[in-house]
Amino acid sequence: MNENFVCTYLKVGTFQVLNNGQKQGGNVASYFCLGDGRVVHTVPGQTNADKLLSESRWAYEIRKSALTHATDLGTGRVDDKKYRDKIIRGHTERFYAETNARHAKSYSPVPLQFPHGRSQQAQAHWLLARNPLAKLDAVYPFVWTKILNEELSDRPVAKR
Amino acid sequence: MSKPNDHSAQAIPTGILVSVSGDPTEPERPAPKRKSAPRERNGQFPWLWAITAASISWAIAIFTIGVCTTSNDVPEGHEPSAINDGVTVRAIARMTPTVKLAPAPSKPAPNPVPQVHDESPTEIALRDTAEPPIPAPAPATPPPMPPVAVVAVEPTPVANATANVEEPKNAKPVRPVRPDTDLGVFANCDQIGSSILFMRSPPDAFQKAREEKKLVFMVHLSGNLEDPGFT
Repeated sequence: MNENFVCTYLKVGTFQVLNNGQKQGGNVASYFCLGDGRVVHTVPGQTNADKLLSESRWAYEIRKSALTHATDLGTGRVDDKKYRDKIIRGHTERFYAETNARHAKSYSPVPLQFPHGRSQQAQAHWLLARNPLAKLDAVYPFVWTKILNEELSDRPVAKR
Repeated sequence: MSKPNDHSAQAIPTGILVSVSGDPTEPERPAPKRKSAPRERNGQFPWLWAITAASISWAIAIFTIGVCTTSNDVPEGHEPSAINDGVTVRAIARMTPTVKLAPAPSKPAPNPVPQVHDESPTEIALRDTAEPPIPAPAPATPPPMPPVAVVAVEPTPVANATANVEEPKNAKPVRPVRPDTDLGVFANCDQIGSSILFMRSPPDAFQKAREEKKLVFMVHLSGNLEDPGFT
């Protein structure tokens, strides 16, 4: 991970620790961002190490593919629209792969309405297909509250 | 001259005049006859006799099938097998060469030399396709269940479903801090079982990513990453 990513963390929520040591509440969300804070990919919720590594590879590859697709190799200039289109297509393909395999290879746009009842990962792909390369500050409240159904809080972890 | 009280006098004709409507020539309908259902002598169908006859015929059919099956397929001199699965037993018997054993010495042996009868695969296939499989009758009582041994199993630790950064402290032994890790810049995540170096400051991480043209792996969580009890 440290070879391709600069890793960091931020506390955005809280939970409670009961007297018997049991944790109540709490969640986690992972984001793969560009250096300027735009989100390439996100993994909402808890996941295992293999899944997280697989998603990190996908984020790395889609970013490299989009950058190559959008860069004029003669001048080195990057077309931002091509960059976004590649990200949109990647998330759209993953969204249909998560929801319905029949449309996995079609590039029809994702639905306008939020896909209730789908998996959290599919909802995350829908969000990033509708809002490609959005800033992290705009993405994480939606992920934390709408997809993970958690509450944003700056309160410290409470013991009771 | 006759007298009124004389019986010999001619009687005066009397009658009632009635007007006739309709066709007087139409014949009258015959009275409906009541149909009676054909019945037996006792008035009921002999269900008892029918059921008895059907049961006897069914028993005869089953007995005939069983006699034909055993007389055609079981070679002489073979011990009865404990497995009485019709198709399986016949298939196994055909695949192995049939050896007819010599009869007991009390009887005159017509052919003292053991007769080895091999069948070619074609013959086996033809016979298999010609004869329909006859299922063996199910046993009346099911075989007794083997005794179930109750063994106390100690609870095994469940595989951690969270990312490595969220593993509790007591799940894995504490790893020593990397010698090249600057704890002022990176969080000491070795104590929670992760080998990934997490920078403490997100702005510094984004700046470093811009400089090195890397992606930023940002983890949003509830709690504090440095404290395994609060993660």
